[in-house]
Amino acid sequence: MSMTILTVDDSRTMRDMLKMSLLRAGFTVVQAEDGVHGLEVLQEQHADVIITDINMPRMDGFGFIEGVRGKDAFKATPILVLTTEGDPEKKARAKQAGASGWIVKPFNPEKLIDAIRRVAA
Amino acid sequence: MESRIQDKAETLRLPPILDLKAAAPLREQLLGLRGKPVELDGAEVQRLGGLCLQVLLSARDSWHNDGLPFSLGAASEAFDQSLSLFGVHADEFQSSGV
Amino acid sequence: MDPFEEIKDTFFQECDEQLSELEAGLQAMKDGAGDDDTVNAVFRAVHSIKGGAGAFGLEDLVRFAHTFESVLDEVRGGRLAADADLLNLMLTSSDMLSDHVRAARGGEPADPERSQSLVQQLDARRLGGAAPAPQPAPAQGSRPGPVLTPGVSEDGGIEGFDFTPVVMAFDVDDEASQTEEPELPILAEPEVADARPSWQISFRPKAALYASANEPAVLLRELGRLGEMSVRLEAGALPLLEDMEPEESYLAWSIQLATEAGRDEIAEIFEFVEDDCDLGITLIGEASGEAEAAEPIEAFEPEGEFPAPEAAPDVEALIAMAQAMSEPELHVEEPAPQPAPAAALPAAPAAEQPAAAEKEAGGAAKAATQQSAQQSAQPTQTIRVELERVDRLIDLVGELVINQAMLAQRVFESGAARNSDVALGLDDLEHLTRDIQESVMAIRAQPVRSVFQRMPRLVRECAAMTGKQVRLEMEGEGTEVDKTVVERLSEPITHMIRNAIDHGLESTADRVAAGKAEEGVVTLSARHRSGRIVIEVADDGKGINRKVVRQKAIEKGLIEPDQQLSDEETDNLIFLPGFSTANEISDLSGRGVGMDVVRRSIQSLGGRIWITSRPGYGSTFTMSLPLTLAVLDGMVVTAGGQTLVTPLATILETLQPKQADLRRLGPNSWVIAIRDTYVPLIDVGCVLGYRDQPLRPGEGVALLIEAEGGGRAAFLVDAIQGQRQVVIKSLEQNYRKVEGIAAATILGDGRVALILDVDAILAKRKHDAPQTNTLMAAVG
Repeated sequence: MSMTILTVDDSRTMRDMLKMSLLRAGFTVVQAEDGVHGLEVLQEQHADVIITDINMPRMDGFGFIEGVRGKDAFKATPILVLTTEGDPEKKARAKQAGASGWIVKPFNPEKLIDAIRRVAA
Repeated sequence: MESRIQDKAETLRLPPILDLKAAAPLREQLLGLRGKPVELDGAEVQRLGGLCLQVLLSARDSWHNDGLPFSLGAASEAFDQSLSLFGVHADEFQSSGV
Repeated sequence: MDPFEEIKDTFFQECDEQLSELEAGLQAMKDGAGDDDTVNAVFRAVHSIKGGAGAFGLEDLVRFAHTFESVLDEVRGGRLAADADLLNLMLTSSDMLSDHVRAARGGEPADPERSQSLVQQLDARRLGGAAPAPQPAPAQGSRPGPVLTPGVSEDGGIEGFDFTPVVMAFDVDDEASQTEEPELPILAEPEVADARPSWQISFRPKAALYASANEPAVLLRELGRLGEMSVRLEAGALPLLEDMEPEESYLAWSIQLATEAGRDEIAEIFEFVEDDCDLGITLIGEASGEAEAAEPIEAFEPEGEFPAPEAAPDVEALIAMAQAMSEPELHVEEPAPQPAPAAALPAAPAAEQPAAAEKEAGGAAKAATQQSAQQSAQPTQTIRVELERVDRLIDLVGELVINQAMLAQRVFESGAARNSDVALGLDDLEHLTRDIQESVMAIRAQPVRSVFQRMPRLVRECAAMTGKQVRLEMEGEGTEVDKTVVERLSEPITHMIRNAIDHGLESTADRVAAGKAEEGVVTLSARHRSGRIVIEVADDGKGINRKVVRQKAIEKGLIEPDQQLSDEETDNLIFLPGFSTANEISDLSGRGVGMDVVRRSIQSLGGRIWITSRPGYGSTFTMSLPLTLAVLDGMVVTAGGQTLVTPLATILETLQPKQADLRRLGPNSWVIAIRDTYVPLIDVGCVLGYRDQPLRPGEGVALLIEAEGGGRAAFLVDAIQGQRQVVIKSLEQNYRKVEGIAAATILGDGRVALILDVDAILAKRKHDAPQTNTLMAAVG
């Protein structure tokens, strides 16, 4: 049984890249296009790890993370945020919202898998 | 399952996932068994996290303080491996009572 | 296609979408209609392009996007006011960004000097007006590493972007080499006998580590991957069960690790939790054959050389320089209450649904006005399908519709009662068939947005060239039409817009003198009407100078000096071949720059174009094009022995002409009185040449029709057969183009029927019988 990863990103390009990298690494991938959609998906889909963008329409990554952590079922689900900046404030804010870690864009597949490995039980 | 402990030890069957979410309920369950000999059944455990480890270790100490037996019966491979990973030897987990 | 290229394709598609978002947003801000959401959307657009470009190693694009984004970030954070100058600069920059995207796509390279100059201007605005000394343009060609904008790094105002060059270097043959199931680590023996350097790691998680769903078990497992590990648990702080908080952290670990990995690699494992734990990493000996037992954990004080996980020094420096970013709001924001033109329509995702759009195409003509904010409102799943497969499906469904109609006809002819089970079953089948057809055709339908979104730039450039102030307003970008039509719309629209600005709008001085606003308005709109798509380009300029146009037409021998023409007809003279050429027209107040060319290209699409004009108030070009492959609800009629189909949407009513209502205007011209007005009576059989002799007055049936151009007429036919849904087959594909005929169809009985081009018949008749024009103008 492979792990299921939920990716939340408004950019199709980024979703496709994540998907390709993750599928190649043997993960199952579920996608959502923004925070609101991500929360909807989580009502029906299990995810072992969540990867989310920060800048998104409707509901940004911070709102999404808080929404996820607000649900008992997902308290222990690792969440990685995608960030382009080496911005400590943004990382700190994501952590405060409940993120487990981050992936700096542009990422390569190894970095991505490494990051997942560091949070996924 | 050879370590039959004295008389009627309560068996606590541990759930497969012992993560953050499982810690508080596990503690509640164990509190409900205070004063009785307890044998843990870890046969179904797939994952053991730090918080549940704390609860189990604290329970072991608490039972030990009471002089009551507290033991680990069946254990899945994953459970055994997790314990070693945390630096805990399965036999440290026993408190045979006084 | 290899997956990498496919994603790149997606990226460029997305760039187009983002660029149009960007432009729409900047324009809204310029019009004073922008709110925080607009600014965020604009920022996101550039940010997103930069992100994708980074992943593909498109350095020029990344660099420009980065500079642009930095300015937007200042605006977003309220630190920089988006005044008119800045907005103009940003609009120009969005054009430049678009050029960079085009270049990255393999197209024409972006102008390096212009790009560099914009970078400097953007930086200057971001840094508060003090323009940096002009920098030489950077050497073109690939540069491997990150390049910060010149002159900015010392300033400290720019965030660093760590640019890892290629990223998606997949080896296609490479099996999924990563773990499918993360393995559990190989556990170290208590005694570490290893020739590798040995590290002492002390790790005490805080409650926050657990709260962020991080897990010591995972971190220990990852450490174990690096080498031989021995772990000692420190549980001295653990309270008894009654006294413990289940989510508090009481345990700590002391780990001895023999590994080739360096400090950075070890620290990297703890990167995410460095603030959520006490961590010490100490080298305790090179190749210490006999590692001592792990020390009990006491000293958790960060040591002097406490490592900064992962961060290479230069990155660290860049981070230190990074500017404070203000973040978007945490929660979903309510739609803006302002009556902004670009305000979201929050609860109307249905308008995006293909079914709804197709229904409009079917006839319920309501302009599908799409707001740009709506685009992303409803996440939808998509798949990619080859066009050929869709077309094959469309063809098959077309056959199905015809087959179904034939079957129905045969059942009817066999004498089955209307309410028989067979007939009722056939009715259901017909509905189903129709639904299938609508859904299938919706697959090919695309919004005209992709064409519309190129126009703001065109307008800006034309405005700059002519020195006029122009605002472009767009409506109905979401109106859907067949893909092939969308692709061919760009050229005529470009032509019409250019014309509207060049020749339609007055100079600013003239506008002011005429009491008009300095800024001229060009409106581009699309809507569905009568199963066609109608696109209009309107300006609020001076309108056509009919005197000049008429004079010109006479000089060119296009009309007789004494020929009577309605205003409408005069205006439309500009479409005649030979009316004008570009150099001649510049002294004309009207239009005409190659308008015959535009008309021809539209006609080749089965469309028509005309112009309406009001002196002093402006002109409107209207073009009407078929939604190819659309289903048509038609009235099947007979004229001159031919079976013809009249689009139902053009028919206002049917009537039996009475002798008393008819009035003769010429040898072959009649008008018919309908209530208070006269309309021309057109014998369709005659006009199309199926019959030499016109029907005698009183014979036949008349259809009162209204053309898209607004003109009315009564079409006289032999008889009406009934209403039917027909599949439009392109005539040009089957045989030559026939004037007055829009397309063909195959009826249930297998006969080919021609579909009337109502507007063309009206025009043809006018042309054939110009003497009725005066009356027509009075009537129509």
